[in-house]
Amino acid sequence: MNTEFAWQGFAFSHPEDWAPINVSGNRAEGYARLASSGKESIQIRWKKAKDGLRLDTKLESYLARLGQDAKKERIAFQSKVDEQDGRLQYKWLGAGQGRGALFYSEPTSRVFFLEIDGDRKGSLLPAFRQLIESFDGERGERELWAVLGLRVAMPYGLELERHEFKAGKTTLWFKARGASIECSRWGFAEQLLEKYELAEWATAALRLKQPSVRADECGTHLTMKGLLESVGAFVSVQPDLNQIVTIRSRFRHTRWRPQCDWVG
Amino acid sequence: MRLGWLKQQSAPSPGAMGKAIPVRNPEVSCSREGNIVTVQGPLARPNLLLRMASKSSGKPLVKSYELEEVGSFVWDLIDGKLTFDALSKELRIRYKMNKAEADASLGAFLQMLVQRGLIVMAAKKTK
Repeated sequence: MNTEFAWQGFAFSHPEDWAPINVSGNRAEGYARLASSGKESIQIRWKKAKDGLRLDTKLESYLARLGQDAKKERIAFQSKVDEQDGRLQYKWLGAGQGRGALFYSEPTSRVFFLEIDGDRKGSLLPAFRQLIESFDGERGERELWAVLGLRVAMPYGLELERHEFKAGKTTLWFKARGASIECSRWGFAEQLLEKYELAEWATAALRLKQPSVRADECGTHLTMKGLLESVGAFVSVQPDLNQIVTIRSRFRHTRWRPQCDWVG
Repeated sequence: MRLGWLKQQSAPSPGAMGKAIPVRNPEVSCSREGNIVTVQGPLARPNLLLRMASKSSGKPLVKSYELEEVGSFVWDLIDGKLTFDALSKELRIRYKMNKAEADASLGAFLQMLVQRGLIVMAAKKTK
């Protein structure tokens, strides 16, 4: 079984038992690392850059650095670089092993560096193929964010302010001009809804005061109108995943009122 | 100064943790009401006053813990045979959690049970 990781305008699929252990940075530049339950991990770096950047020299210096580290530990090191589908793909073998790719994504004007590493045992090729074949760095009307069970397709242009990954709850906070949006995934939906009525739970969980509540076929909408700004929330119960996804938005323009198709 | 017998043990690796088996303290008793399990065990680290009171009254020092539904589910599974990984898998299946959150919440819950003396974590000896 595979699952998806979508972050800052790129996405790829990975085995279900892999989880993010480090994510940092912003849209222009950042880093993410996902680890398996074994010794493998995926690391991805991205950086805004102009086309025409000499990626081969960047890769050479990266591999040379790995080679120097191996030499210090008196471990034999070898590496190989190929160009495939407009990407520089490489593999290395030292104390551990790694397979990676370095490429420029024109739609988002960013350079991506992807690597899977692990110990010397076993082959990283199937996992690397899956990573590279599923990688999507295209820019669309909507931007997918998928992490630890939360999957939302948000309007393009939101800036991620912060994130929090807790057992049973994943939250992303976004900001845009005139809006701040909080997207959460809550585990244990069945157990929560045995104790509480959905609108009552959502009102408390999303810090709303006497909101107007409307339910339709795609979920429950809660609204609290104010003079200068309003607070709107959309709540979707996903019984097959035993989770509830909530989107709470504090907005001035109705464009930022949570929509049911934001829940991907 | 090095005190070998006081030396702190290093934390188990994630692989070793996955193979560790939680075992119930035989002095612990439990009762069930619906989905909720109440566990009663000897009070861990009682202070001097409590020990004296217990000695004079002749009653053992016990404490009850009411576990929530998820905790009760895990408690029922602790049979001295299932490993941490197996419990995590059961938790993922029952509550549709992802592996990271199942491992994290199970780890925290078992640690709490260990601190209260309700279980011990038995590690398989490696040759």
